[in-house]
Order: sequence, then structure tokens, then C-alpha cells
Amino acid sequence: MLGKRTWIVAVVFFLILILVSVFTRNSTPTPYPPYLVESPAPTGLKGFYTYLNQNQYQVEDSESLPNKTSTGEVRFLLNPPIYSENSVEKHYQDYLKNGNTIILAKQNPDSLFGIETEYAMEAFFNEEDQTLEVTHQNQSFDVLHDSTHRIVLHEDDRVLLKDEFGVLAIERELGEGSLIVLTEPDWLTNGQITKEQHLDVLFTILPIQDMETVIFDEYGLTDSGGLVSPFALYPNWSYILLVQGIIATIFLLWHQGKRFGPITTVREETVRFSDERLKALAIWQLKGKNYQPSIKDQLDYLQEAIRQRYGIPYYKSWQDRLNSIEGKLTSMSAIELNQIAKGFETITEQQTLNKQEFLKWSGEIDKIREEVETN
Amino acid sequence: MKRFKSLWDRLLFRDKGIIPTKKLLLLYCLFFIAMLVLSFWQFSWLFLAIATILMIALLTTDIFLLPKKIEIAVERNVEKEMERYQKQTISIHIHNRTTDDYFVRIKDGIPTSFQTIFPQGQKIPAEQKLRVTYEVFPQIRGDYLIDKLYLRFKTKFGLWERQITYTLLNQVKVIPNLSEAKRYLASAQNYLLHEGIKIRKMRSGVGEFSKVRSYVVGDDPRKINWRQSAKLQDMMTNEYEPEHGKYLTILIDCGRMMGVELEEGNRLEKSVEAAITLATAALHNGDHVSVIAFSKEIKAVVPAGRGLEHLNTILQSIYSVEVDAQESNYALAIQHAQSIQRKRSMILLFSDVQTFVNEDYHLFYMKKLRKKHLFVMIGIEDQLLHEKIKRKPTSALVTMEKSIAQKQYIYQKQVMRKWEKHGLPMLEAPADRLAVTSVSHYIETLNRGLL
Repeated sequence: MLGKRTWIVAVVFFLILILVSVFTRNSTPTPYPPYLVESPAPTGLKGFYTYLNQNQYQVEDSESLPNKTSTGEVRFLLNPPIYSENSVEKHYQDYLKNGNTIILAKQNPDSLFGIETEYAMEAFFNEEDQTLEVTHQNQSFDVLHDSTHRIVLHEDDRVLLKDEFGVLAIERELGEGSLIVLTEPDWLTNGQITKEQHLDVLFTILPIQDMETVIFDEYGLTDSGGLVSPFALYPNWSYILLVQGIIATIFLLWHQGKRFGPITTVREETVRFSDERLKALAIWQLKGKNYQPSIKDQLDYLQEAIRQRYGIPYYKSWQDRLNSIEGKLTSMSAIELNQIAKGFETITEQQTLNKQEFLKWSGEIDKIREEVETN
Repeated sequence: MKRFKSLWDRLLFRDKGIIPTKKLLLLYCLFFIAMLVLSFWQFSWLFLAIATILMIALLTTDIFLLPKKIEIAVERNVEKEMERYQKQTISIHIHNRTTDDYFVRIKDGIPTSFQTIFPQGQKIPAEQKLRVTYEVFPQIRGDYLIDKLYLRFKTKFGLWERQITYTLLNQVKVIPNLSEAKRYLASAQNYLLHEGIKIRKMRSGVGEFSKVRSYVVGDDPRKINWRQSAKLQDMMTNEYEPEHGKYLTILIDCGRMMGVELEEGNRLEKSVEAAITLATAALHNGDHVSVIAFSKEIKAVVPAGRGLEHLNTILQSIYSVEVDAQESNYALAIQHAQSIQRKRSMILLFSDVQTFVNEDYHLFYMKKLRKKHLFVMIGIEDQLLHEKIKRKPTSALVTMEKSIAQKQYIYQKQVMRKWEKHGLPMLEAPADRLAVTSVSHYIETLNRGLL
């Protein structure tokens, strides 16, 4: 059935496919999302993690929600997404109240665990100066800064770290546990942990010495954890609408879009009218305002019509002509006709006519013409 | 590569393929609504996927019941010649070789100028032949090739349709409408009823001897054939009729001005139909007819011939003449007519009067022509001109158009009178009376023995 040629084409096609896939795989580095514990990239946390691990801390990384009943744990939440489900945040709060510590490090932790931030405009513009001086209980450290947000203090918050623009880190007691918030998650990363005095700051403000079990929470980082799956985000009927709508649309387009019958082309415009010449001339004459010759033509026609109908010769004047047909016209009296005849004689002698006169006299001529032709 | 090409063709639906029907769409929409309602109580992706796949699978089983191209044989019967503005029937035979009944929709690859309504939803029973007919109403003369026949089959479930295209070549000629010619042939006298012209058999003193018949009261006593009366012991009289074997040359102008649209077709259509009718009348009368169609150049020439068979020759050579976008070369046409027609003949020109009116040059060579031939020009009355003349002067432009139309009309009459003075009559007739006018003028000319 299949020809030799088809086989060759198929084999070559597959070879090309394999080659392309091999080359494209090798040239791209493994992508690491930031703040992963196993990530050796500058944005990863492998350095900090390994340090803790080798110093007899019990370190874990977890991709699931914490166990509500456990106590005495320290949990790092690095750059978590804003949880789209209330139950997730509630879960964390319960965990906190049970006597655990959460270290939340995010550039803008606004609306997580009821934290509010403000925008530190000056810090944003303060770019020539990469380093910043921060203070912790009269101790000052030089650090690099990235965040342009500062934490708005609550009454029961303890300030851990602040600079001239505002608060960078706080500690808040919640139930039996405590929440530590830091606006600079990058200090923990492989790339920045050894820069400036980051290590000193971290060891000062974080309760690292008291820690036993340290958990790096990756629930929101690796996959869609913490976020609701887009397949469950909307109400059920909307998915039915989407899926079935797509299929029904395909059927509809298929049904409508297929040609039945020959291809028809639009007919060429070839219609001509016999009055094209006449119209062109009329427009031309109207532009030249040649009302007088036009009236003359109409009078000539009327003259001919009267001659045909009543046999009154051309050489007679309008006065005589209209006088002799006055009995035959019903709509006009003899006096009117007399006036019209006088009018005809004056307008034929006039050099120019204006538009109003032209229309008025044309009307008079047409009235007589109609009666002569229909009688 | 050919395989790929055919797949590509199938993808692009080149005249074949399968199409879902309205019924399928409706069923699917019902399923859609059912699923939607169900989703308020229960929803799972697995259920959705399985239900959808099952539904589609169920609906697509109908595809396998559709017929294949080789299982259906078709044949088209068309008349080789069709008359313009005359309804014609085209029949299509479909032979169903399968053991299932099908319903078929037809679309034929006829030109767009053949107005028609195609039959829908015809049932072809299993292993039987079906004859489907439809009427066409051709609008434009010419040569046409009908090639493809498009059929869409569906089963009794009617969820899918398969389109199959057959290539059946049929050459069709659309010839001018011959109804007037037929009416003339049926009864010449009735045809000219409203013209009040009698097709005379006899005119005292002129014409040639036709036969001897019994004398009836009212016959000219001078025509009594005394010798035969004595022989047969009854009063016999000679009968004469106008001479046969006259020559008639018909010129058909196909120039720019003949393209003017009328209510039905254009001026040329009417002229061609009138020319055919006139040729029929002349051939029926035993005269020789030659035809020349021209515009800038000579487009068709039929040399003089006699007998009604000659009508077919004329028809075949002028059936497809079209209007050219050029001014006609009358001098060339007249010259050509004179060169093929050396004997005295009546030359009838179907053209537009206005063209002649606006040029004096034509009169010069027409006068020369007049010395040998009898020349008549027949044009179609310009209805638009008359409408314009009678319009109410409501605005300046309308009035101006009106006055120009009136001037043109007066001038046209003057020129026509001038030509008539030179023995070159110009006739004008409304479009629907063109044929009658030309025939009656011809009969009158014969009756008066002018030719």
C-alpha cells in the first residue's frame, strides 16, 4: 500500500525530529524557579539550606500544607503567592496559633496574614546608592535593597529592622506562635547571602539559634499549590459551556463553511443606460447656467407639439398661437394665456434668465405641453 | 507526494468530503444543554470527557453508512440548444447501486445566467434509478460548458452528508428567443394582426403568375383566364403573387450604443431576435437572406441563401454575438454588404437612431448605396428619452435634462425627415414591437413592389 517513497519521507522526517529535539534540549539550561532549596542558581536557596543542614538542624522542604497539630516548628515562606483560597491562609493561621513560627519573606507581603504595606517612593528613587543602612535595636548593618515596600506597623508588632524610609521586618505574636515578616527575600538566596552584611542581619533578626525543625515551604512555588487549579476555578457549568461550545462551534463552522456547488464570480458591471449622454450634457449646461437656451428649446418643443396637434404653423407669434388654442385648454383662461404669451415673447428676447425665472417659465411651458399632448 | 496532495485536497474540501447536517447540530445542542443542566448537580472532568467522546462516537457512526462515489452512477441530459428566456428542463439520472436508501441534494455546475431552483431532499431507493429534473431559465446568449455535478447524500438518519462531485461534460448553446419567429410561422397573418397589413397574394398587373383558380365574385374581371374557362366550362381566373427570390440583407449593429439595457435584455438582444424573425419571414416567403453582424469589425457573415434550412445557418453564426465597447463602423459594414450582395436587395440595418442623427457623414455613403439597394434603418425607441421629455420641471437639473431631451427629440425628427427625403427611411419601434415592425415593413415593401 504505502510506497517506498512515503517510507523514506517518514524516516527522514523522524530523524529530523529527533535531531532537532536533541539539540534544543541540550542548549537550554534547567530552569529553576526562584527560592527553591535545591536550586544552585543565584536565585536559589541551596546555600542557606545546606548550611543549616550541616549545622545539625533538622531541615526539610515541604510541598504540602503544614500539619496543624505540630508545634515548635519554624517554617520559611519565601515569596508565596497570594492564596486564592481562603482556606489555605486559614490553615496557616491555625498552624501559627498552635505554637509554630512562620518566617514570611516577600518583597510586598501586602494582604498576606493581614499585613499592610506602603510604597516607599524615596527608596525606589535612591538608585545610585545600592547599599542601605538598616538598624536593629541601635545596631546598624549595610545591606543591598530590592523592595520598594515598607511594612505598616500594628500596635502589637515588634520592629526587627528599619531604615530611614520605614520598617523592613517585624515580628508579630499570634496565639502561641509568631510571625516574622521580611521584605527582602533575596538576602537568603545563593547570590546575595554572603554580600554586605546580609548574614549578620539574618542571624540577628531570625531566631536561627532557637530553631530545631526548619521547614522550607514550597507549596506555592513549584506547582500551582496554594492557587486553585484553573480547572476548578470557575463554576462547573462554565466548563461545560466552554468544552461543548468549542465542539459545537467546530460542527457549526464545518456545516456552514463548506462550498456546495460551483464557485460563482460577481458579474461584471456592464449595464449602460441610454440617457448617459443626456445627463452629461444637462450637467454641463447647468454649470454654465445656460437657462435661456434651455427655455428656447422647451418653447421649440411646445411649438412642435402644438403644430402636430392643431396644425398651427411655426411662423405665427406666440400671441396668435396661444390665442387660437385658448378654447381647447381647460386649465387656463384667455387672460392667463395672453399673459403667458407675452411672457414667452419677453423671455425669448431676454439675454439672461435667473434660476427662479427659468423654473417658473419651465413650469408654465410644461403645463401647456401636457394639455396639448394629452387632449 | 500524491498521497499528501490528496489529503491536502480533502482538508481543503475540494468538491468532496463529509459535512455535518443541521440535524446533527441540533442533536449535539440538545446534548450540550443536557450536560449543562446536569453540571449544576454533578460535575467531573472524566465524566465530561467520556460522555462527549461517546456522544461524538455515536453521532459519527452514521458516516460509515454513507455511499461511496463508485456506488452511485449519474447521467445528465441537456438539450444542446436552449432559447433565451425560454424555460428548459435538465434531467439527471441517479442510479443507486447500494442496498440502502439515500436522500440527495443536487447542485449543478450551470452558469449563473441560467436561473434555477435545484431540487432538494430527493429520495433514491436502494438499487433503483431516480430521474431528477429541474427547470432553467437562460438569460444570456452564448456558448456554455456545464461540467461538474455536485451531489450531497445523506442516510435516513441524516446526521452527516457526503458530497460527491461528478464531472459530466455538456456543451450548451443559448440561442436567441425564437418565439416570435415561431408565431410568424404558425400564422403570418395573425402575427401582423395589429399592424393591419395584409400579406397579399395578388396585385393587379404586378407580380408573377402563381396559379389558375375558380373565379369568385369580387375578383378582377380583367384577370379572367378565358382559355381555361372555355376548356373547363367554368369561369377561371389567374392568380398572381409578389415575386419570390428577392434579396434581403440584414445588418446587425453590435456597437457601443446597442448595449443599452432595456426591461428585458439589451438592445442587441431585441435586434437579434427581430432579425431572426425577419429572416424567418423572408425565408418563408422564398426570398434570399444574408446577414452581417458588425461593430468596429465584421463579426459574423452569412451569405445569401434560401429555404427555411438557411435559418439554421443564420442562427448558428449569430447566436453568440455580443456588444462591443466600441463605436460601430457603418461604412465597413455597408461596403461588405455590397461586396457580398451584388444584386439589388433590401438592406435592413438594426441600429441606434441617435448615432446616425449626430453624424452627417453617414448620409454621404448611404446616398450612394441608395442608388442600387433599398435601405431601411430600424432602431429601438428610447423610452428613457420619452420619460425625460414628460417629466415635471421640479428642479433645475431635471428641467435642464428635460429641455435637452426635447431638443434631441426635435433634432432627431428633423434628421429622420431629411433622410427620408433622400429615400432612406428610418423607423423607430418600441422594444417589444421591433420584430413586428421590421416584418411589416418588409411585407409592405413587397406588397408595394418596391424591391
